[in-house]
Amino acid sequence: MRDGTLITSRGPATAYAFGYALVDAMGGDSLAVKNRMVYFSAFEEDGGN
Amino acid sequence: MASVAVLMAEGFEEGETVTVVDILRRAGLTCDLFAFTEGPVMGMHGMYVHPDKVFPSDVKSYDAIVLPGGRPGGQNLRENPAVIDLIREFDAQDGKLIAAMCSGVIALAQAGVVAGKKVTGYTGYAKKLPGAVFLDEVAVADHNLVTSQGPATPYPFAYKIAEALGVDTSALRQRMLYTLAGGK
Repeated sequence: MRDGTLITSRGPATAYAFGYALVDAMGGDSLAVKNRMVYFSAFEEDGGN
Repeated sequence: MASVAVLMAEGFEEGETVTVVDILRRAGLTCDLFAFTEGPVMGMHGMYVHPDKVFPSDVKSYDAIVLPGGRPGGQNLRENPAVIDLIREFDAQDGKLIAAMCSGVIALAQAGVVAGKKVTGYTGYAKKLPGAVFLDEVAVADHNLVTSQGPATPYPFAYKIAEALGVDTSALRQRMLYTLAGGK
């Protein structure tokens, strides 16, 4: 989750969602990265939220 | 407890390699990283990982081998005749498991062990696996093979390998927050 200047995440299997959140916070396009990494094949689109 | 050898060629996909080792060790399996040269090996994204052993060492004594993907990691595995011989040797022995993901599956095709078997691999890889039954599934176990799709799929891949080796992964999935993260 993001709150102000902080981005935090919960544990081993949330590293993808965490990394993608960082990409988006830095102005990158996480959707393109998710697609190239076949993210939606392994994880639900909402990342369990 | 079963033992697993992960083959780490230069240009290996880091997540497809270290996440698999992480999960299989958590599952209580013996899991060692094999490199093809002494010292740390550089991955696809410039990360260096120190191996446990240098190939071939005692790799034939392991119960399973894992071939991660990556560019050019998968191609480096496919182009190594000793790796292809090892895959064929494992394929010919009862009780041995061969696992590959993403571009690592091309080594299975090169070794000629996929005919008539259900497999998966990176997007569009059906054409690289002639004779196999290519499924659009995150991880597939069939006969002596376990295969998976790509960089974000080492969790279901490693769970599938552990299950094929007799480990119940339901508690592990919870502890690693895989289910919470929306893992399928």
